[in-house]
Amino acid sequence: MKNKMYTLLGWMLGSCLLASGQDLITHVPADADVVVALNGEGFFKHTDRDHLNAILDHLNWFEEISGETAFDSTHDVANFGIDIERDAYLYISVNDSIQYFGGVFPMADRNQLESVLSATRTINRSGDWAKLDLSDKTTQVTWNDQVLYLLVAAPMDAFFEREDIKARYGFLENPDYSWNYWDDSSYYGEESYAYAEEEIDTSAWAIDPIDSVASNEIFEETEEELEYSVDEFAYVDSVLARDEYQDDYYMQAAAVRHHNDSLVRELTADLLESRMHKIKDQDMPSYRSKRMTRLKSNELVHVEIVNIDSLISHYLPYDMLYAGFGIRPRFNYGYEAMESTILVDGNTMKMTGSIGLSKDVVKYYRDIYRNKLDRKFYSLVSDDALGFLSINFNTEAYLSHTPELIRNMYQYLSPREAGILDLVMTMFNVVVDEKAVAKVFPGDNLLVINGVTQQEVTYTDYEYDEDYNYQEIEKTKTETVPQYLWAFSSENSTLFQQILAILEQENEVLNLDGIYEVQTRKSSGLTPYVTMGNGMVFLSNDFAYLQELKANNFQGQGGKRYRSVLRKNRMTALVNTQRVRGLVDELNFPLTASLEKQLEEMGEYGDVYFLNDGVKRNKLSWEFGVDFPQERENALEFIFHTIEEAIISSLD
Amino acid sequence: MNVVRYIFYVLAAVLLLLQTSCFDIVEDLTLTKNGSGRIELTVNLSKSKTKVASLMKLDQIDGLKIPNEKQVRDQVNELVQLLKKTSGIRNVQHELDFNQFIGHISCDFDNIEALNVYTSALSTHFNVRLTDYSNYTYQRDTGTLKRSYTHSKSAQKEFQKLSVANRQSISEAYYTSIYRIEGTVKKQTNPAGRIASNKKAVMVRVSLTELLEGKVGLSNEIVWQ
Repeated sequence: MKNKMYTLLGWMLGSCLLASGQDLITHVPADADVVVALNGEGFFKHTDRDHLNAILDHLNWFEEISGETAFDSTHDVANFGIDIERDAYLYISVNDSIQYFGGVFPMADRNQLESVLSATRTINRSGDWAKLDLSDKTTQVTWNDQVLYLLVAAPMDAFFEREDIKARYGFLENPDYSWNYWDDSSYYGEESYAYAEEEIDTSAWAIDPIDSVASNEIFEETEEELEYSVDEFAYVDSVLARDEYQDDYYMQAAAVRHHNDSLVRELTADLLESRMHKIKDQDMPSYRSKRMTRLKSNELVHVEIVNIDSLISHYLPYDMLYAGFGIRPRFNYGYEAMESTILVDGNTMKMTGSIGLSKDVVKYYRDIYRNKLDRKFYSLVSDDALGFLSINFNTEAYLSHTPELIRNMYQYLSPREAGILDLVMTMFNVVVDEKAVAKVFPGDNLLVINGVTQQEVTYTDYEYDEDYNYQEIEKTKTETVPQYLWAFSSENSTLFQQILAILEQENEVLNLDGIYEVQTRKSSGLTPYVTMGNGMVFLSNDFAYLQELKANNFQGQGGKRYRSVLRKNRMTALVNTQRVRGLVDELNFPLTASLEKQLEEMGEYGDVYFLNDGVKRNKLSWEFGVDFPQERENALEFIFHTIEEAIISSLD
Repeated sequence: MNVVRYIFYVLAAVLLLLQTSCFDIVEDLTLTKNGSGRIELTVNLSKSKTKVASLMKLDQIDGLKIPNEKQVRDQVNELVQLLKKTSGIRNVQHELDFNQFIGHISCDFDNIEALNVYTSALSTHFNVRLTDYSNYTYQRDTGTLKRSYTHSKSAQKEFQKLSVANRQSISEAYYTSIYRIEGTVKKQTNPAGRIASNKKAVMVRVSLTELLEGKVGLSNEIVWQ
């Protein structure tokens, strides 16, 4: 009985292990810098495979992959032998010398795959493994019954430019270009010309420059004294010799380049072959990520970057920086891992993500982003606003921590450069009074376009008299323009008041009972007005609106629709696309037939937004989303349908 | 590119800009008895400048390319250079104001034929027969200035392709021709023309819509003494 219990337990445990082992994440090497998980099951839960097949069909993808066969079965992605309803992975591994782009795909039926590929390609087999025979040895596609590996290798150019590396691998040196015009007497010809033997009397040239005629005469006389001639034959011979030399040089240089390039390709191919062996033999540690193996059914794609700073350092154009500035800097932004997910949430497609911040900088960013939008601002955003942008940061923290952030970023400079930078940052700290600046501008901002306003604009017209003589006159008309409002907090608005007072003296602004009109040409309809109150400063092109605000103690008539999102996030950018059509109508904007159609379609969408809710623990998070029209089951279905229609109409 | 089509595209782009209408084209011709004179052409989009400014930021509308400031300047410079090279044309001046969206070109001419020569040069440059549409003649002995104008059916066709709303949108756009004569005007033959009270000028002011539809024309015969 006990043995049976143990066997049963063992079988259950084994099944669990098998189940987790079936996730191909274990086939992704541990040294991957970027990994992308594609959730096949989630993908096809939200859309019909027929859409994808139709799109690929229109693009002739099936014919290209399988050759010009007419088998119906090859017009379905499910019949390519890949299990499209399981997770697949793409990854990038990069080091100083080489970068690998890899893919890991679950197999469904290798015979299907091989029958499709063998129509146009040669397949080599070795044991359980099959491999596509490709002329490019820096790419391999290989598979067995369970998994298909794709691996592409590309060299890092900067590595193979190093002198020690070149010496190690036997690179040839470029030939010296040694043609020197100045040494080539045949070019000029030693006997080809001779100056007049007597010295030229330059004293005669000291003449009133106004008397140019006289000076010209002197030049002419002087020129007559010169006698020279060019040996034309020697000149031509020299040009031919130079051309021949250049031809030889370029051929030699091309041969060197070809040799070196071949070496690099061979090395790359060897490294790729070696790596592929290890991958196939599972002789490399595996990438670990719990998050990758726990994708929800609505999470279509998940991306992880192991260390952003490291990735950036591999791809920075150091040679260009060195050529331009004489430095090969190494920056430390303080960013660690990054992850991002694309998911379907009903008719909304979202991309969420976060960046990890290192211990050195997280406290600074947490401080900088600790401010939320003051609740006084909520009433300024109406429910039918076209869009708004809210950015909130702590000015005092920002000014206080910026020197440290910069020191951290440039910590790898040479001692001399670091010393100069340190001095500048210290001076910044001494000169800038963070607290005083923060009182003037604490850091919360709101820019909103609520609707439209009427503004008087001037224009030029003509007035004719009875004899049809005309003169230009300036007239005014009322025009409808978008209404904008920019508001920010200010605990000490003395500075602004003083500035406005001076501008008023200079007639640059007009004081209209506490609302200042900036004196611009009334031509654009965007004349700005400024006012202050209730701890805020307001800038808008709608004078009446500012009057209304002032009368109401700077409380707007805003709704509640966006309060939650304004309250929770440090940064919010949002466009209410449904409002666009109405605004265009209010603006009396001319519409063509196609524009009408586009606006009608845009009216079916919801909000397009970007949110950032600051730093939580050691991560800076964000979310980007689009509310798609409700006409399809979900956002993914809508996107595929739209792509399909667009391809069909472009092919018509 | 066919210049009629080009002009239409420019015009169409302008038409598209103006749902509430309002732009003016003013042509002011001053003629002396010996046949020399001065002509000034003004295109004034000032009343719609807000929309014009906004739409010039776009690349195209409905497949029609919207020219940017540089392209407009380049095109006008090209026309001006052609004008300067035309025999009998002197003192060419032009001005483009992209704040008010007003364009102005003027020149002196030695004889009225020079204007026809310019039109002919344009025709050659753009490979289309502009001279078929507008032509001047002046008979000194009879004191007669004649302007021949032929309505362009292709322009009408393109205009009619626009939606009703867009066609109506230029209902307040006008084309104004003013002829100033060194003498006393005895008669003029355009139904829309009016003689000034001092009898030294004639004005023809027509709606652009009616002009494009062929309901009115610019043909005129002005006789003076």
